[in-house]
Amino acid sequence: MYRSSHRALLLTFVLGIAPAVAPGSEGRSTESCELCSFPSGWYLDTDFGVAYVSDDSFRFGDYTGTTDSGLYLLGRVAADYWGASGAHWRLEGSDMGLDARRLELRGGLPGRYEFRIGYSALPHNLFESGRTPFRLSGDSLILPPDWQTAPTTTAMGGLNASLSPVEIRTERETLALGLAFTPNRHVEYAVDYRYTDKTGTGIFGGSFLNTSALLPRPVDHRFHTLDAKMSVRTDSWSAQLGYLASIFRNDDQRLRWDNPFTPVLPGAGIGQAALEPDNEFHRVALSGQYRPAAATQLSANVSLGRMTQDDQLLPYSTSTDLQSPLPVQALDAEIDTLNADLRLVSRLGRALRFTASYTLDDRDNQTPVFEWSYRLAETLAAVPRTNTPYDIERRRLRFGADYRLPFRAKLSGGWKRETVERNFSEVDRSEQDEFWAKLKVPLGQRVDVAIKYAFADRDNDGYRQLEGPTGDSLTAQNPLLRKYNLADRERQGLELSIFVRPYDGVDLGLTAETTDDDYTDSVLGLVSANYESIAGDAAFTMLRGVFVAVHGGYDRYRSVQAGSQAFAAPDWRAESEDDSRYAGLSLSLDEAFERFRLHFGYTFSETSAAVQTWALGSADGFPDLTSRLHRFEANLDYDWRDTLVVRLGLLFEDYTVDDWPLDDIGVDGVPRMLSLGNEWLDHDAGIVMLSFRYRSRP
Amino acid sequence: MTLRTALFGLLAVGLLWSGAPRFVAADDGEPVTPEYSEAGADDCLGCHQEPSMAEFFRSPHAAVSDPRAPGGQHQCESCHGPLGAHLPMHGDAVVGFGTETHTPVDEQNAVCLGCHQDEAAHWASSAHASEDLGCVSCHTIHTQHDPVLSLTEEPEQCYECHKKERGQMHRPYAHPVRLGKMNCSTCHAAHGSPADAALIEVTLNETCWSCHAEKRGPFVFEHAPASEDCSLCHEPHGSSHPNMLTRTPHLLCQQCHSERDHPSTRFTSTGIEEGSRSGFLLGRACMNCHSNVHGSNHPSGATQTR
Repeated sequence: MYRSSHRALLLTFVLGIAPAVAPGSEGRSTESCELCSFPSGWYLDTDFGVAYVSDDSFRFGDYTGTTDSGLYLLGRVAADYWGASGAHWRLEGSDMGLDARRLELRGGLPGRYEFRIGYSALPHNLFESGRTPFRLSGDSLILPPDWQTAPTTTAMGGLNASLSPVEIRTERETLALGLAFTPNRHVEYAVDYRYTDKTGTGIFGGSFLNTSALLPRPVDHRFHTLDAKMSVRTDSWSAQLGYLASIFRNDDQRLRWDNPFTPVLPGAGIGQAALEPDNEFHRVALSGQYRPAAATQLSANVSLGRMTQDDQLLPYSTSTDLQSPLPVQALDAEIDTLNADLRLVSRLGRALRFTASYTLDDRDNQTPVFEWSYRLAETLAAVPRTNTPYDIERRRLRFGADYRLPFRAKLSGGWKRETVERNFSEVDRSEQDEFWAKLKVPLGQRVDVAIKYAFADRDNDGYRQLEGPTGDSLTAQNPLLRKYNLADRERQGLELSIFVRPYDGVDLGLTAETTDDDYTDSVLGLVSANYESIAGDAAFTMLRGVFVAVHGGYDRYRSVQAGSQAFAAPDWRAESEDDSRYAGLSLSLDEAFERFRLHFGYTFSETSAAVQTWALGSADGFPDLTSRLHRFEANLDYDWRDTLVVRLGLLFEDYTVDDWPLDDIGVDGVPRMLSLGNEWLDHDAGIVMLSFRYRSRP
Repeated sequence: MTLRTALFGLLAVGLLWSGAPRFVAADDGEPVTPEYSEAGADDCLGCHQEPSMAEFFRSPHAAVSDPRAPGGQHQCESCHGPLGAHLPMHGDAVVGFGTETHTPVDEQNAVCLGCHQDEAAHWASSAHASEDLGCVSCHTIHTQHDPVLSLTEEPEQCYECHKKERGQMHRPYAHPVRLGKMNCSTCHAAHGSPADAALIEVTLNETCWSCHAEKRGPFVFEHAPASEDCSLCHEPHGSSHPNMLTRTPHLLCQQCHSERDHPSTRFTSTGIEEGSRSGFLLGRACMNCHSNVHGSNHPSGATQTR
């Protein structure tokens, strides 16, 4: 009977038909439960109010929608409805008066069916300070009719008069639908669909050999995602069958632009680039878990996917005089993916636990290879190139074990071998062995210390020069260069963590880690890298209703690389160092004052990125890229009535940034690059909020 | 092939071992099975009248209609064990949750995973399981609103252990986690997954493409690192450099590119001074020209400029 039941479930799973298993047969009616206070009817918890934003700030409004100064409506709602049959529906919305709003309705009969529909919008502000002489007409960025081309931006006489402001920003709007159906406790079907519309303006660098113009490109992207799953579960095994479809559509297949510079060659007056092509991805996934014994689990996952792209190709050049026939009108690109994972976890007694797993990620690129008689900058006939559809196969084999020692101590260790095979690559096959060990030791009842050491050694089977296009030695890489993701590398890492609870209500934590990368065979390219970080936090529950938390940390990333201007041995070196530090304080007084509650928060974050270079004994340094953020938040709640709370809120941000690649460049600051003149702007902006929170009685 | 053979051999041995009789409960004597209460939750609530219990009945666990939920089964006893085990004769063997209980964390988790089997699929091999985390280390059970399931509140829970990530999320170029528009589980599966770093998709790139599908391609001219691993160039937890690049772009690109006609160049601060400003350094640096850096579908896009 047991086997028959399992076979029936398995058959069900394969055929996608729900088995007739009595629902909830183990359950017990709660109708007679006298003390169970099941909710019924409506319950509303909502905030409505107004907010005043003190200053215009694109950055302050990034992802939040508070871009412009002035009044905003605040709106948050959480409305629940419980029906007599147990049905539960919930309407939830936040930031409803802002551009970054969310609204979702979900509900149903829990354990039987559930439905969800949601909408969200998310603005992403980049630059408001841009200016451009280009105007979008269809899919073309055109210059004013009286535009006078020039060899450099400084010589573009009518430039300033022709500039118009342009905002670089996008907005994502997403509609999500979900449906889950559970015919019985063993089977569940679920379908989720998501449609996202991303629109706005981005930046595209349009170049002609040694000149370039930063262009305000349109963004009109649409994403459809369908995720359907069926799950079957019993006490000893479970399985899931899933189908995923990801469909991307771009309303703009190309971008054309007038060359604002004097064309170096005839035919270089209009540029044209391909924008992101439509694509599709379909995947079927089957996964299962089997528990032959309480302490053992075997799991397996297999996914088969296919990416396709078949957009019509643009011509080689915008110049009709310089056309060559394309080998195909559409690429018919196709990549098959296989992802498989097999894992075994078993506990031997209470002390020893081991894991073993094998993972395969295979990207099998079936895209046909053609020879392309491509043109540089719309004009120059270059040596033909072939496209290089990349295959990548990554295999990982892992073994790990941990052993519980006396006094809650634990010793863990493991080994992982990762093998990667590629085509069209300087390295056909690389192999990395990683070993790690970790010791976790409690020092008494109130202190836990853990230390972990890891070592990884990556070797490749030989780094070779890729053959460039026939007759084109100009594109050959320096033979001493080692690309850092392919190069031999030794990596060592050390992690330390300490958690202390000196008294009840006081928690302290500290983590520190360092990682060293040594590219042992690299003469040119990334030679070494080092990462260090330390972070800590503390939480105090000091008195009844008084909670204080502090946190802070520092990390530093350093790397050294070498280059060769002479296309020979290294003749320059650069060291970059990125530092970041942060600190924060949170204070909550929930019960210290009758009817009042206070929350205060402060966050500080600072980053800097420095670059030093050396060549022939001379040193040079760039200014630091820096950013500094101070953020204060305070909320004061007053319990006006049992069901009504008045909240006064304050939020203030002080943000400064120095970014030399953009600051003070202007539109014509770089002779051979027509910029947008955009830069990151500092801001001091704040919000004052007054809202009323209504909560109906349970 | 050798590795695969070895692995399957090892798995077979492991399976046989795990199925051996010593792992099967074999009680020689008559087991004493504590009994479930006849009155169900009324028996528990007669004593446990904490104010928080009212909130429990708003939680998904209380749903009577759900045969998978405690409310549709033995109510309180579904998770805390039969009431009979709570009686003195059994030494108060009720199942407790959290750190202030005698119930081992494995047994606590077994209760949760008995119903939450989808979450259990990769739990056993997850990093969180190997750290002996209990489900209630992150989840709050007796409530309608579990903070760790909230878009805005979840990261605070994760930062308790993943401390450095809190600082990374405050870097100037980062996903909007600190603003409550994404959370850790937008990309990571806290209960484990087949992917490295417990990502929600089978690979890192698939995880990124779940929102950035326009970068998936396939393109006529691919850029190898973009096809292989987005994190070769991007730091998704936050960066000091625009577009979450791992380094300033003119150095990042030159770590892999040094062609004869475009050799790696030592750019100096002279290139940012007025009068000698360089388009190789300023603006978007290399991407001033090589804009289609994720791949180009233009037949003249071999260098990602079209």
